[in-house]
Amino acid sequence: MLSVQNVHKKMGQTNVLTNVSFDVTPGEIFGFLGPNGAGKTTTIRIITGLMPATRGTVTVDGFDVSTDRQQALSRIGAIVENPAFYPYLTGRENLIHAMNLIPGIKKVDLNALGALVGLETKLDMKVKQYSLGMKQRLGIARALLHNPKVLILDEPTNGLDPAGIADLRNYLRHLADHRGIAILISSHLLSEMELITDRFAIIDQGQIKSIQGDGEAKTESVILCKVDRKQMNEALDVVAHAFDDVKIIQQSAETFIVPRPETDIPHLLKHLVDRDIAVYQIGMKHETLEEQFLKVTKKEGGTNNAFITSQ
Amino acid sequence: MRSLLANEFMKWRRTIKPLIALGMYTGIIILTYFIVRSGDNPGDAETFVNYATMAAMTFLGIFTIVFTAEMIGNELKFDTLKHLLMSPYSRDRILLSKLVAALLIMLVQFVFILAVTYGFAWTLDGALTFEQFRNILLSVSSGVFVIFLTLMFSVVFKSVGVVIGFTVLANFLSTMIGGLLITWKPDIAKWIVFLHTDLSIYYQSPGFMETMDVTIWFSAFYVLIHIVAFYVITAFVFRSKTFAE
Repeated sequence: MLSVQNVHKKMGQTNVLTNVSFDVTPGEIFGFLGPNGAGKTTTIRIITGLMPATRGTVTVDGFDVSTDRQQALSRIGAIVENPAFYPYLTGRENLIHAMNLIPGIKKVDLNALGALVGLETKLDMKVKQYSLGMKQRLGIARALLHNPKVLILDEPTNGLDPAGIADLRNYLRHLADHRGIAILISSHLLSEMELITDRFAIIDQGQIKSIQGDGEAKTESVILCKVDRKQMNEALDVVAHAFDDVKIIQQSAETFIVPRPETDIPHLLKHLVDRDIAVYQIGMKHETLEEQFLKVTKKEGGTNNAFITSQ
Repeated sequence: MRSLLANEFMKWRRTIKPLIALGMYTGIIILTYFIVRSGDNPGDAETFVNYATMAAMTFLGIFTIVFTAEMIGNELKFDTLKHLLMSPYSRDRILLSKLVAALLIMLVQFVFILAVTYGFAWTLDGALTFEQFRNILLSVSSGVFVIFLTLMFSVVFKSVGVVIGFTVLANFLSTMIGGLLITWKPDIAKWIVFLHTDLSIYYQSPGFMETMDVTIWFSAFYVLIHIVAFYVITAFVFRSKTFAE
């Protein structure tokens, strides 16, 4: 549905984006992660036609954003950077303004749309009286006005309270599952992204460092084992003999992790018990999105420190 | 295009400024009416229309600069320009809608001024002439020129205040320098476009333009060349600028 292929953006002498490629399929929620300044917003600006790419193509439902602008952009709903409105107009007037920007749009039931995002009683208030969370909801309503095939949300959970975030998550899931909308979300809230996305790409220094492929597990899993700290060295020796070519990582004086699947737990446990090692805990530990992010950006010499401090 | 114009009108009429503008036109026309009627030798309808339109058109010029500067300036101020540029309409179409809206908004106010002025003039003695009406219509040309100039400044500068300042300064300085040059170097003064923007001057003060040895057709053509050039520059900048923070 949304296809970004080999997009390159040069500003002055700086390569802001280098060969950025990814696809978002109908009904999929695709996360776009990266530190500040990694190129997320530049990519979104190119997708939404706000900025031309130096090289590469962006297509929406088969229409090229640069050559079939009207066809491509009429299939996109977006919030870029922050939801901006005319503060002296009401929420309803802002939505009417947005409707007027879509050629050939059919009549929209604004009350129903307002109810959908929880603003049914607030649509006739001036936007200058809205809280940030209300503006965010109105921004989503505006992005959905014309039933887009692709929804692009830049930091959509900014300003929302935990209940609002949960509502948004459920609503986006509903849109993806029932209306087949392809959703691209950029965010720095990794825990939120982990809950909401089907797949994700990590961008750093203008390059895609990693894309979670179709059919792969969302996150890597490892075996976490806690043993008597006096027996730690012996335990590590046992594990090294139990599995060929495995990299064991000692996490603390009494815990270590083994990057093996869940089916290897009985095998590992048997070896430890046979050597009379006291095992206090054994189970699967799922690698968080944050850990994957840090791993990818560190491995590539990226800028993850800036990302961490930005949170 | 109609929907884009509807947007521009909605944004214009939902602020307090149009009401202030219309209130000021009405106020200045009423003030002129009482001044003209007062004294031992009260003026007639023609005198009233002359003074009232002159005063109201000065305000119209100022409000036209403000409204036009805000058409793009406010989009940048509220960060809403990105939503316009993300729309399926081309940038050329969006810019054209703003230009047409600015022209129509000026014309709406002009018609309002005419209606109020002639409404009051109706109660005064004396006949109203077609020549006077023609002169008032011709004076609109300076408003059209100022719209193109302001729109050009507004795609270059981010702040509405700077755009208004530059437009007023360009107008003021050029007219002042032109006024000085017209006495000493009329052959140079005739190339200052600001001296040509009000075409009614050919009928109201014909001697002024005769000094420069120019005709109304020269002035009209010279102003036209400028507004086309301004629009080409405006469209080029608007089309190529990213408008990113």
